[in-house]
Amino acid sequence: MGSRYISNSFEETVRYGKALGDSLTGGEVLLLTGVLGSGKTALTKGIAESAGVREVVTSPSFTIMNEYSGRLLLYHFDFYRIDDEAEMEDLIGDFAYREDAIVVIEWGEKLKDRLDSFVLVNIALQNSERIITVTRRRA
Amino acid sequence: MNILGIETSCDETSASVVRNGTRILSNVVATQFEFHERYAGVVPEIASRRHSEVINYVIEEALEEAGTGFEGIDAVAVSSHPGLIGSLLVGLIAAKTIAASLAIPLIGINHIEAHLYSVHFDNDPVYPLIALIISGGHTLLLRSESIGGYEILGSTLDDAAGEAFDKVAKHLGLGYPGGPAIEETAKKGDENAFFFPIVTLAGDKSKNHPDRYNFSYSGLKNAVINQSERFKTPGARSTACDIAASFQKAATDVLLIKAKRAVKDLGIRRVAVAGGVANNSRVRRLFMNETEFESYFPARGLTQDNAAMVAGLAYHKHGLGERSDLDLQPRSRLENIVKGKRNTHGK
Repeated sequence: MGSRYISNSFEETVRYGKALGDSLTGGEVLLLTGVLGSGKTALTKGIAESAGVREVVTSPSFTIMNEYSGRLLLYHFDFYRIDDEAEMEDLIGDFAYREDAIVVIEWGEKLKDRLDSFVLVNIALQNSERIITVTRRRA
Repeated sequence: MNILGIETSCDETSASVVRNGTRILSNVVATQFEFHERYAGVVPEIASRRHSEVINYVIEEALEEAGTGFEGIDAVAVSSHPGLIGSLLVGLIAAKTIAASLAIPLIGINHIEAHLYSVHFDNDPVYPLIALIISGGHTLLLRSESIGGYEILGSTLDDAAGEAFDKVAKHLGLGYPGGPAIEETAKKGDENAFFFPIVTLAGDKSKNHPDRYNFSYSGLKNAVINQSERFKTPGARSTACDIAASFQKAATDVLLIKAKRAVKDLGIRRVAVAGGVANNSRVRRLFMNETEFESYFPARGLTQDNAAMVAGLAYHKHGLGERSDLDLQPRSRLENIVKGKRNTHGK
């Protein structure tokens, strides 16, 4: 089952992230894919807003993981600087699939073949449009 | 008084001995640079694993170079936040072990305060001051009343300044680390070839706007990477050098704009600039040439993560009677940056 959405601005991407976040109950792992500047962090801002996070969501490219708490916990990973999928698995190990937490992972497409269940969110850039597709895979 | 400092918050493993807060007896930094360069910025091993592989050697080398040995150390200081938990833990365990076995004080240090302290080794700054901490992981505008204390005026709402340099460098195929690569390439370019947006955030010119001191680098990154043609000056060249130079201009001009604004609003005519991006020559030139305020920079070797800044700051904390317990825990975040004060999600 998949869905498709077209965003024309940063704000629309954030808003879509919020709608996506509203459909999450905790325990999900989201893999965000898309080129540099496609809006992965913007989407995460929306998810955080939906999760009741009041802090500013910033890019975890250097910090690798940022954690936030609201109605749910949000663990925001960024594997931009990490190449090895075993290492990625190690890093998310303590946080993935916890019922009280959403895990959002940027640059984690390599985990696709290693995780049983995840929500894949791809942002494709076409001219000025961002085409966001969401597919869920369950074990 | 000799303090051993330990720093493992991100990629660098560092240990240093500093005497009385300003005299650096040793400052050993095992950088993962050589690995990073090979993988164009990618950390090839879990950062914490690398920290634990090298930390003992780094500490031993720092003590040997300082000529103090363990017996000449009066206190041990360690960065405890913010940073990657697994990485911070390695430094914390080392520091706690040393503190416990030598029965000397342990002092947990805020990594951001330590960066700000790094200007003290080569300057004698007068407080209060405005501070700009600009690195791969942070972009913060602060007001500091005294050593080791600060109030956050603004921060990035998305990407850090140094992160933008790295990502643009990677996009242009310039290698890692991105800061020096962009700076070098920019020398051969025309910084007016592209008019990339200097992102000051909408409405922030008005005094009470929540974004008045905030930064945003993702829009600039996106402009450079995904739509540079839109910003091209008609007739100008458009080589990678020109893109790098124009990007560097936009990325650094905004730092001065926001710092000047804080100087004016708060009536504090002193600005300290620290963190890896403080190494950038254009940033140094912009701030040094400014006549409205005096600026303080760390020596070039002290801009990136290092343990001397941790040990130096700890001397002052120690003097104020600050001590940490042996159950000191790492924390990933700085204090919460709450919206409402800032307009991030539209409200």
